[in-house]
Amino acid sequence: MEARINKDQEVVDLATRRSRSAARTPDDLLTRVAKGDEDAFAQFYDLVSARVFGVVRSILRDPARSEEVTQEVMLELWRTAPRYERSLGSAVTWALTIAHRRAVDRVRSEQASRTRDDRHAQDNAAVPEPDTSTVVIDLLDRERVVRALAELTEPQRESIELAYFGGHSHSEVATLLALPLGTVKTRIRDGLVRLRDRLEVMS
Amino acid sequence: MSGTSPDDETYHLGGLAGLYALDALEGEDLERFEAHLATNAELREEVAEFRATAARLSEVSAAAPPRGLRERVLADIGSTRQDAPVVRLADRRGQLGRRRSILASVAAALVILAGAGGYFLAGSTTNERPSELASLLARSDTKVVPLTGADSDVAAGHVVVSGETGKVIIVSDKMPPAKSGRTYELWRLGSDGAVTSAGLFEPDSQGKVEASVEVSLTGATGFAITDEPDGGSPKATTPVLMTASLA
Repeated sequence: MEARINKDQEVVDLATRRSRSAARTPDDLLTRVAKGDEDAFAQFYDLVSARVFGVVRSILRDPARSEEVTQEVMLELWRTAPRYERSLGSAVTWALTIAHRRAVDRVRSEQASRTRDDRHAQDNAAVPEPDTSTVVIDLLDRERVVRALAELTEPQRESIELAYFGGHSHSEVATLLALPLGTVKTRIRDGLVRLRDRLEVMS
Repeated sequence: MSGTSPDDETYHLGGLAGLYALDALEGEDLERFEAHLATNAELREEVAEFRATAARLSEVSAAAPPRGLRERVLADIGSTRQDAPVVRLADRRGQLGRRRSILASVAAALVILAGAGGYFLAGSTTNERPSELASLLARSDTKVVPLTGADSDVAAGHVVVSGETGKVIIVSDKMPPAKSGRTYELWRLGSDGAVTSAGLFEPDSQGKVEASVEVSLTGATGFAITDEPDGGSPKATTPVLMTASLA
């Protein structure tokens, strides 16, 4: 789980873009997207697609299906933007919540016919060339989250990573860690509370 | 540990909130938790915070998507119609205080009663049976409970419930019409945490609903409404739109 950072991939430091994108926060853009503004959606894509694709790929592993699910997620964001409500979280949280849910749905619906070993066997499939021209990855924020994760206890970090990046269910995490369900539940909650406080998350 | 004190319950739900925010709950656990979520604003707030926290984790795995995807997505949206926005009832009603909205709910129930009674009187000359709603409203065991949106105290309609007959009628004159291929589904929330389908209904084009179902009301704590594909779902697949509490 530690090799989540793709150091070999060229990334665009948001610091160089921040000045010109400062006036266009994801929330502002989404307000325009809700009114059918395709140009705003293109900018919204640039702000969230790396995070959407990254989380989908960490769960699905297979590059081709990760691309397919990312495309479905982006389309769902476009389609449902008029129904977005601030009470559900910020625009970015909303996008990532949908992305994680769709990737997990895909894994669980495939589980009946396919084992996880098969999925891992596909890891060597051809990796599509990344698009680094427009996509934004914020290295400063990433560093902050990596540090916050490192401050968790090992059991907390492990449980949260298996659930979030691995897309594993409560009972799967418990089985993988050979722990009772209640222990996993407590670890995840305590870990999330700690992360929330460290990252000063506001819903 | 008895596990029955309110604090234990709060802590238990808080633990599930973490799992829920990471999409790690499945099956019955998921259903039960969502039933709690429908009626517990504090819990929704906690889930929202955990979701925002989880979303931050995605910064760690961020990776540039494949070349060409941006163009395909942008081409897709050019030919994809967006969903209609949800019309918020609170916006229509303006700034009514909670107390006034309760009065408005009662007034609305009386209007319904008058309307139904009027029909009854008009029809009685030809010996027609009174409408189901009028009969239900005439019973002493009947309760009229407001149906409120997940984040609003303003009633979107009412649920008329008769404990003795097990008859339930959903009444509204302002429910957004179901989208094509979709329908509304009513769920019975049990005191044991069980969520069971109580039937499907659809407003007419003016947003009027008068749908009657029969369910066991013993042990029922309330009702929830979700938006489901035509034909309904065995389990709710979308967030709760409205709830009515019998408590």
